[in-house]
Amino acid sequence: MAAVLGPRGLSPLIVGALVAACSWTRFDDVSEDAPVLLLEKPDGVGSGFGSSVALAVAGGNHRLFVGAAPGNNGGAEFELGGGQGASKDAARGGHCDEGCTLAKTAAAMPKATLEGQPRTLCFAEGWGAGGIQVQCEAGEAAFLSSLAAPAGVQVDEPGKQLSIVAQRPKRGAPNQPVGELSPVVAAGATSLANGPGAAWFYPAGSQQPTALDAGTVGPTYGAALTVFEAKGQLFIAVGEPGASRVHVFDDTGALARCLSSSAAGFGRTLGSGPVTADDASDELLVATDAEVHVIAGATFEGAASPACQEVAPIVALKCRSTGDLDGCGGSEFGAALAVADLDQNGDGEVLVGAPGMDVREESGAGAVFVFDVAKEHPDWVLETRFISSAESGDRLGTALAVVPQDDRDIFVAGAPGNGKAAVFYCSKLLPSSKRGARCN
Amino acid sequence: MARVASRTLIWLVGLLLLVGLLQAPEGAHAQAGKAVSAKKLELIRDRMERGQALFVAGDFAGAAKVFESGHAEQPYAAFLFNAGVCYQKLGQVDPALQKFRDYLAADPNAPDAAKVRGRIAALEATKGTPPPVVDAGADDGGEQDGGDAGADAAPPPPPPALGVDNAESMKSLALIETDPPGAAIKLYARSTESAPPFKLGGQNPGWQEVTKAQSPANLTLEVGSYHVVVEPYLDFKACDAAVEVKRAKVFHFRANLSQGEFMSFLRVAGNVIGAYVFIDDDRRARPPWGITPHGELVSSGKHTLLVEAPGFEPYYQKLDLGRGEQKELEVKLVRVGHGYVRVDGNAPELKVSIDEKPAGVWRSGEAPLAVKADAGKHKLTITSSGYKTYEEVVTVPAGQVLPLHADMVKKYPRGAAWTQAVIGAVFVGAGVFFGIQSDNLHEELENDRKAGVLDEDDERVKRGRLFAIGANAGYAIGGILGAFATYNFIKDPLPESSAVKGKPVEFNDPRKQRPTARLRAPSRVALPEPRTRRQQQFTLGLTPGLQGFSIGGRF
Repeated sequence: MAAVLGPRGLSPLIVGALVAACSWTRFDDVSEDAPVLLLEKPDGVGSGFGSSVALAVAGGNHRLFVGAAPGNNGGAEFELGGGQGASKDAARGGHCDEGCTLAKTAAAMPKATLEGQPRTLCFAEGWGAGGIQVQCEAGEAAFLSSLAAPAGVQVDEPGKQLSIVAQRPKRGAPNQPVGELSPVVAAGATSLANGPGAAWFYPAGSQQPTALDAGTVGPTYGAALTVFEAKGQLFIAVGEPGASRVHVFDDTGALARCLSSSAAGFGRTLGSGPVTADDASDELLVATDAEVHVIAGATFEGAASPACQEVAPIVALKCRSTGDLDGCGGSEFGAALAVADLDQNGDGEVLVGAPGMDVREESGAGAVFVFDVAKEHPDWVLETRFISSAESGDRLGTALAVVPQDDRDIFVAGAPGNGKAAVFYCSKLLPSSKRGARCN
Repeated sequence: MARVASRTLIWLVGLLLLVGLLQAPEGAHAQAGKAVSAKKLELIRDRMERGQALFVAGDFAGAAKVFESGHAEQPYAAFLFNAGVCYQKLGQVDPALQKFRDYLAADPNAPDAAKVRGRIAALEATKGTPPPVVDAGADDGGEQDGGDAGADAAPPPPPPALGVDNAESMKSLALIETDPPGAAIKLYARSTESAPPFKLGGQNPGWQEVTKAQSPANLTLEVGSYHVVVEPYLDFKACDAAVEVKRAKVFHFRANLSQGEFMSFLRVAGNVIGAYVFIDDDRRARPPWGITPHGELVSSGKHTLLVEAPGFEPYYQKLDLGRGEQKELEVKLVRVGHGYVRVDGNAPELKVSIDEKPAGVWRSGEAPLAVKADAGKHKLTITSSGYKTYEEVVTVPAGQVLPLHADMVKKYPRGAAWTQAVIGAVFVGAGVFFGIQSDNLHEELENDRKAGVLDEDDERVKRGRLFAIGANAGYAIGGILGAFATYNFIKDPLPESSAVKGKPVEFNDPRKQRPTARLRAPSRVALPEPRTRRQQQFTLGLTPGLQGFSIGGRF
């Protein structure tokens, strides 16, 4: 090369090389306050960390529970705070350890009255000796209690899977639980041995279960639940995906509606929240094997109608491939559903987990789709979320939890395949002036 | 008996007279017995003129020696007189007296014999010694002592006063020959300035006979106008020629009696010694008439003169020589407008360029390469594989050859520099690669950050950081090696190629080339032109080698 350049031609080369030198500190800059925070799995937590997530906000705390795989034990709490300075290290461990098996989903109770005492930052996380195990904060220690199961329901039998949900806090008052003391908690247990499933709930402030009787149901009854509001009335929806039905009960436990669909798996995952401009009612989100139907809250107004009938959704959300995402066919689109106001416009965006999605050729890395049903094109994918360090089998989107911040919502997605839970702070839907350090 | 004795005495006197007649010219002009060759004549002329020049310059001792050496070469009396004057100027009376006496002894009939005797007397007077008894010829006695030795002791006349000698005091030499020799010669001198030109057989008023001799003869003459007359001889008529004598010159006359006229004398000299002179031979068909400086008798009339020398433009001149005319030409030859650079060197092969144009290749063992160029400054470039290039502006001499021996210096080895450069380039290349990778990763991370999907634990952060460090390390190591390479490329402790330029030499003279066995290469250059029509020659060479000397030959 020097022959081409000549001896004196080397100097420009050297100067050019020095000019082109790289700064390695720029990587510190780019990774500092990254928009995605991966939570550290603490020791003692079983495999499948990130299978369930639930957030309780009370007393200025934003406490996130992250559990291991259903049927396994072990979980941890993380303090996310109200801003963007979350800690990736667990604030508390020891959830659902000895004698406890974790549920498919966990329920957060910012406040609860348990055993006659008010408790805060409680999580109904699994099945223990006395029923559903609830662990609350009690200073340095933890307060454990349980919610008894209805008679005849034995969740710890092999093949049964427990799902627990709770009434979500109202928007604008994250620290205020619904009801006087504690939210409504609903639970469902499926039976894979072809026995019928079961569903029940605990009225606010009660540790006594009330059965949710939908008549003749199949073994998938209780596979998914959600608690939502419509015109000021509380409803509990229980999915029976094997029959493509969703049973909706009122706050007394009476069957109010039965929604059916020709789509397979209708009701395999349920969610709810205000996703339209209708502030009076939440919308019900029902996942089928391939879509997510958004059903208007107005559907549940009026007199009860127990007979099952098909209801046209506002929109059917579908999986979409993007430059980074592929593999909708096996994406398990709708494995987790949540509603969060990411753009701080007052209505929520629909978050749909797709843990089987391929991310940048990483098979099954998983992703979360964001839809804004209130927009002109409600079925458009507004943005997708995944973790940049996605690995095959992460299964991000298996679980979703919304984290209300001071001015907007962020969300947490579990990726239990490789034991991860990621906090997504940023959304391009949010105005740039409100994005903060992590999102600029 | 008295009559017999008287007859015998008459015969003896007659015999002596006859002998005296026959011997007199020989005695008076002792060295005139045979013709002088042109080469000898040139030698004589050189001594005469050089002595004169030294005399004029005030170097009387040097002049005396030169005149004496001239006399030793050819015993012409004029040298003796001139040497005597030099000694007189030096105040060395005895040597001066001896030279003047020798002069008179060598040429007692010299036209100025009386004056010389007076000079001797004056010199002796300066010594305070009486003049010696005159033993010379009768004409001397009359002038010098005024009477016989046995006369009454009348007081001798006072010696003539010594004059002041100057350049005009130097005598010239006139060599007069006839063909056939033996003719009687008379020399007349112009006695009055207004005398009409000498006319053969005329009264010639204003002209006075100063001497006579028999050819061939040499006469010592002082400055003046003379006329030489060859008397009728055998069946030949008389002939004559005018002689204008200048100081300290040598004149050569030859009368061709069969043609009845004196030949002209032509001498060609000039700024080039050794130039070839051709007379009436423009085509150079005959050997040269002479080599400058050269003087020789030529027939009178019109002639064409050609003077040439290697490295000079030929000189042509037409001449019209009068009878007995002594013509001296100073020819100024002008150098030709080109010259040669003769190149050899210490490298196996030299490629020579003049003014950026290839001029030839010289290889070791061959004769030096002669490169022709216009006289003046030229850019000379000599290259050789593996050697540093020699480049210099040289001045090509006009009409001469500039010997130039190139002392080529090998290029400094650059192996280390190349190694460092290559390794440095590899490191820089690796740095570039890592830098690109780092940039790509950073760009990906930036994009992910903007998309809101970047997590803090993304392993690309660590990888990108390592790539950046690797890139910088590559640049740094490459830069250091590059700096070393640059230094080693620039570093050159060896001197530049140079050349030793010799003193310009003359062009090769083809007339002097002969097949000869030599121990060394000829000093003259085998120029390209002669080389093209070079005939095969056998040369014997004695060359030094590793095992000693070897003798070889080649055609």
